[in-house]
Amino acid sequence: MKKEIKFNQEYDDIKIVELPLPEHIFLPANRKNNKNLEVGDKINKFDEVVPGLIFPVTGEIREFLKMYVDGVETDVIKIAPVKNGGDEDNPERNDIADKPDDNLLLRLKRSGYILESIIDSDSDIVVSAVDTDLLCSVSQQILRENRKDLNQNFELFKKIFNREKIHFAVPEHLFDMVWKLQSRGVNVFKVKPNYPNGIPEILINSAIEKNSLKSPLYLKLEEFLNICDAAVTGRPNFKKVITLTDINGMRNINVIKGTPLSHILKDSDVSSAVKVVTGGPLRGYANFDLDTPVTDITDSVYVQYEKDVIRAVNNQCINCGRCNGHCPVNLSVNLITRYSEFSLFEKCRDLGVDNCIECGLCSFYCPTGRSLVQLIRLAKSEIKNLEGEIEQ
Amino acid sequence: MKLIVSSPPHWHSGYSEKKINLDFIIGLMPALIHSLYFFGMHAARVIALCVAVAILSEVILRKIFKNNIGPFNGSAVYLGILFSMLLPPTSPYWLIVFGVFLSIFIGREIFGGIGSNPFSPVLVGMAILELSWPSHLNVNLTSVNYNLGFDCHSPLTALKSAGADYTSKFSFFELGIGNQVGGIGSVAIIFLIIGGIYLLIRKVIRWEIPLFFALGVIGMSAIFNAIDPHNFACPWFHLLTGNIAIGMFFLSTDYASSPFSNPGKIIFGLGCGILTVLFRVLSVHEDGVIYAILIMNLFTPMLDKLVGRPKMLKTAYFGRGIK
Repeated sequence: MKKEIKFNQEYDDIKIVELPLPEHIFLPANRKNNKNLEVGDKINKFDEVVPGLIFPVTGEIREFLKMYVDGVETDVIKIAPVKNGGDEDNPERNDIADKPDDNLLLRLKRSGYILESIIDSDSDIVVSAVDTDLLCSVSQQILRENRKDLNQNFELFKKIFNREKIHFAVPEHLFDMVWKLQSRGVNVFKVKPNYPNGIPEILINSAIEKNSLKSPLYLKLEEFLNICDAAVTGRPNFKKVITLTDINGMRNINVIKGTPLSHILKDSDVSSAVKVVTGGPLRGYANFDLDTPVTDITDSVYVQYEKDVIRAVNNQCINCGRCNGHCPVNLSVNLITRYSEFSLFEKCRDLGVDNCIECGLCSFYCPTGRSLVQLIRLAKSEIKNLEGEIEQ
Repeated sequence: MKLIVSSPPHWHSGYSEKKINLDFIIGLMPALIHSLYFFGMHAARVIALCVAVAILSEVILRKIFKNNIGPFNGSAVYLGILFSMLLPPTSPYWLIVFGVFLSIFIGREIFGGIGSNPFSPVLVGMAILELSWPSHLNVNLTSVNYNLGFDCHSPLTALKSAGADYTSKFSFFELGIGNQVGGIGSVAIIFLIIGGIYLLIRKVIRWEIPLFFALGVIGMSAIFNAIDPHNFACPWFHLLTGNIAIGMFFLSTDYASSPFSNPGKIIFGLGCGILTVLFRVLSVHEDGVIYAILIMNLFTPMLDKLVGRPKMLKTAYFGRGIK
């Protein structure tokens, strides 16, 4: 990685490639709600055997197990998909009425979206095509490949949510593709494609400053298309686009949610890899298990090799103030992390540690290599515990 | 297959403490070369002894205090060189050993090592030496046996004893290029400014403290000069003499003892400048930079409370796919 391009999120046109079905798929589902399912059961794609649980593939249930998904212990169902099993079918397409009706809500609910409160509220909606982290070009690429359908999707979306105007954040270098939408009731605004401008909190904040919005809601472009799709077909979209970065460079791939990381990394040389990070190098989660399934928040997979890895060190703070200078929310990071180090969590709360959006810039610039984000997370969770005790 | 787990971020800028200290040392290089050119082996002796004692005392003191937090990263080397820049070339070896040891011991390690010191360590040692053995640090006495090719009369002594009118015999150009007596490196004003600009370009130090230090000196001395131009020197004379240049870029910008908030930095710089001139004009001391910065260091914890309130960037999401 060259240093000067590190914070630039302007990535080339990398076509999205379909990945073949994996051997196993892990579907997160609470075991309490699907007691009637058993190992060996045959299931069909889009079957709703249990209410609220739709299967993404046709296949056979192999195992019920517990797993860490996005850092949380979850019940999962291990499914072995059948190759070429009822994959291609054209779902029935429904028309959307001018006002949201019960059928629409039912279709959305069936796809896992319970959006009544948002439809009824009058808060502004911001759709973002800016990626939240580096080494991730998912939103950019989806914008590139779907730019022709965007117009009708926005029309549809306005009907679904009964809004007159939708706000659309696009990276500066792709503005030319979508500026025409402005005449169709979409407020397109440019965002500089530099980290951390794409982080939802920062993006929304800059949107409020630019367009004076009312309690805006953030929505990813991929999810926006999924909602439009679900409203028409009544089926959830099980596909997820992922940017994979390893020794061979960046690739965009399309997989089914629940695909284990090991399947995604099949083509890359992982024998010498030491770290597999999902979600980007600055905000991502380092996985310990390559069976971890892809979920909605897995925007990117980044494989790190020995030479790139930073080892955790417990160095002393030298009070240089670089962390404060780079903090987008203006926190006194040096004080907070020192208080956190010595268990003075209440002082961290007084300094506003809850406002931290964990962008990771403080740790990135810390010359002594302290794990500042880790210390801030510790303070946050301890404060939560303290408040929980007080309430009890 | 074993995978490493860690908290984010998984990248680092690569700019380490070692590189910071290296940058500081590079920033001092022009002044160091100037001192070697003028005083030759006499300056080399002072510099080498300072660095050696600094490294040795850091190693010994860390052993005694069982402070194994943080590797050795050149901070002692930088401290040694910076200390030597303030000393006259004739300093006896025991003075150097004592001063540098106290800088590391009372200035830094006793408070818990790098980053925990409330005062700039170099200044603690220098202040002790200056108060205890003023004759060994008197620049007029120590330069008696040198023939440097210019008037070996300290401009600040001249100002103190004979008033501003007498100082007109010093040309600003001569003062600027270092043709004055003082510490071996602290007199090389233009070379220190070059080093300081290097530090500013490399973003090792921030511009607030040096700029407002200078503004404080200029403002305060301009007021005095306006009151009585025969008695009080003009701002440029003040800027070009004594330890102000080294204080502006190297002494006052010590990370741990200077504030990190931007308004705090501005007040800190202004305070250093104003106090320096007050010391020079009103006290018995000729040059007050050391005491001015030490006094302003006391205000650092207070000035750090001037940091702005954190921004509230809360937002609501909907749909799936966001943490």
